[in-house]
Amino acid sequence: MMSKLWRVAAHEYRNHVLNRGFLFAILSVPLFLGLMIGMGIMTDLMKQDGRPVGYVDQSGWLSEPVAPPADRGSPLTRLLERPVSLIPYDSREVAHGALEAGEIQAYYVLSERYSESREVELVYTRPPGENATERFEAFLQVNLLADQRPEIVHRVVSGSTLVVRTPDGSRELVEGQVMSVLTPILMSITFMILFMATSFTLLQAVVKEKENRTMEILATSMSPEQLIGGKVLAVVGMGLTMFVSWIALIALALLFAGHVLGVEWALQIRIAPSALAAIALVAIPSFVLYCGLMTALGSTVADAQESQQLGGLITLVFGLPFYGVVALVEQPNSPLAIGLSLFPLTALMAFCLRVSFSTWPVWQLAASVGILTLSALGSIWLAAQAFRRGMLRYGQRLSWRELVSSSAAPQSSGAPAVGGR
Amino acid sequence: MNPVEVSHIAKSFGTTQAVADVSFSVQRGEIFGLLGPNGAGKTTTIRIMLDLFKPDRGTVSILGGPMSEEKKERIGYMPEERGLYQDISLERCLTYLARLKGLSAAEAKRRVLEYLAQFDLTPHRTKKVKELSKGMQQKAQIINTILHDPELVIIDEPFTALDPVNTQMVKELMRDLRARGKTIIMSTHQMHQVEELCDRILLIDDGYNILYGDLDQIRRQYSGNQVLVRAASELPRVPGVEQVGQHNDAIKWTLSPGTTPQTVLKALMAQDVALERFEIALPTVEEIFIKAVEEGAR
Repeated sequence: MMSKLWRVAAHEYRNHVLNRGFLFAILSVPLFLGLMIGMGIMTDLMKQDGRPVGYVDQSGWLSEPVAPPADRGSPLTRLLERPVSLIPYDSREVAHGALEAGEIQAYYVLSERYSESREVELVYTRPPGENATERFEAFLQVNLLADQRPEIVHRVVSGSTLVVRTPDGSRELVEGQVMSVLTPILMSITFMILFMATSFTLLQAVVKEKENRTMEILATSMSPEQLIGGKVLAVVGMGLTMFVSWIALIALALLFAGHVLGVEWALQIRIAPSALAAIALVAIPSFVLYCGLMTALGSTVADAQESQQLGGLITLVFGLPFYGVVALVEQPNSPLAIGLSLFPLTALMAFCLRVSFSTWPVWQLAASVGILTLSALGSIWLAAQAFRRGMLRYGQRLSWRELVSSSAAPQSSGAPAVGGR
Repeated sequence: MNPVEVSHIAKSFGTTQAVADVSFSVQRGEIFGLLGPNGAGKTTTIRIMLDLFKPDRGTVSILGGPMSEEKKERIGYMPEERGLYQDISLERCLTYLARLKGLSAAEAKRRVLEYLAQFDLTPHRTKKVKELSKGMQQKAQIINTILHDPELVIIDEPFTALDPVNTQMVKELMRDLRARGKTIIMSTHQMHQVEELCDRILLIDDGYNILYGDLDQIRRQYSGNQVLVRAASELPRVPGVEQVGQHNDAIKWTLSPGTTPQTVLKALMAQDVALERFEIALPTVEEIFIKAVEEGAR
């Protein structure tokens, strides 16, 4: 019994994984992320202006200015940022003349009472680039701290660090580590992409077997449970392969960004192991449930096109928590959040969205995993029933009413199978 | 016990009665012909036998009882709706399907290579199934049906898309399987193949048994009013002959009701005709088929 299930799983896994489409699917997410980051960098570069920035010190406070260190920022920042030089002007008129002539992109005016008021005026014809304002702010900071001890300078430059801890102290969020918050949300999006990419493959495989008439041969070689179980197992394996590949590629990219390019946040992503374990516990039965429903769908519809349309509806329900993301973030322990976490179709996304902002009682996790596991097994059973009844209905759809009503009398379908009588 | 016992099965799909009342048994080591016009209920009967459909009533015993997962490995089935995985190589496709019939990987591979050689498909073994001609795919389908050495072979239209050489090869293969004690159920529209291969037949129409039994007996049962005669000289007129026709190198006489071949033979002998051939003309299966279906319709 089990050996045939594994044979189907091995065959299907090999079929799905060892092809160019799968390689493309594995590379698609990192490529997509790379493209997004690249576009972000391009947008950032477009905001920069390489022309100098002027300043007029009416207070005389900067009579002997200290230049800010030139090597601030990561290697990536240094690579991408256009350096801006600072030019002192004696008077507002001269500086304005330079601005009008386009020699500088803007100029700052320190008021006569700057020492007391810290009042600075920025004059420009078009808003200066971010690199210009950052450069001038660093310049002011260095000069304001010029007579302080290095450790005080360091502390002031570092600024404050806000740490948010859950009441039980099990989890904390450190200011600046935004990626730690975003990662579970990104994971939920990744799960959705993963589910769609892999289970559509499963769905199409089932429909294809109906279309190319392999079904009848398979059905006389093994039970529907073996066939469907094997297929679902293969797709779950394929999904895990894809997921692990994505994680590995992203981890490599982060390590590269952190160690080679000096992107600090890349090395600061922290997710509590307990949260990861919880997500894994919810994700695996969710995946099986999704695959089971997709297979049931594939066995009931007439062709691949119809299967894709209806498959989209199931995906929509799985992604439902995204539409309530604000409510989930604001009140992660509200009845809505708990309900979505317990409802099998939305549990995974709800947990992924809640994990960044709250903790949940163990009973919720246990109940959710329990409900999901039962639902996943139920979906396999349903898929096997649908397969049993729909396998010989080439080009015909099996209605859900037929599927449910005939469960007590197997194979008493309501319309003749194509291919003779 | 017979490998297949079907007793009064019936199956409806909605308002359509596919099988109304069909009963038959198939004996071990015979080639059994399941015949009938299009829509007679042959495919549904086969699918009920294979437990793909549950009958509304009646019982099926296959290889000594109800169908089970273990029995699926002892049955080879070639459905009317042909189907193989199109996007994988022929060898891989056959090996995988053989493994689903319980063969080990090594044994499946060995047998696949053996049969591919026998069916002249070795040069095409690495090609994708969809790249093969229709005839080649048909041969592959036949290989898939017998690869695991099944006790019972159920084969629907085995000669479709085969050229005469391959048709002959498949016929020899079926005879060889029968000689090795395998039971074969063949559904076909090619009546001359039935005549050549089948030991017993069941003709069904509109979901009912029309004709069932030993093929020779049935042909004898449907004969009696025609004789084939050849003489050294011209044949004289004989009373009781209604119609005269040609049949290869002999004359076919259709006799009037009440006239027996013995009466005609006596009349010829009485006239001292030098007979070279005198035999009862057995009807072809096709003639029986048409006649039985017409009678059934009436």
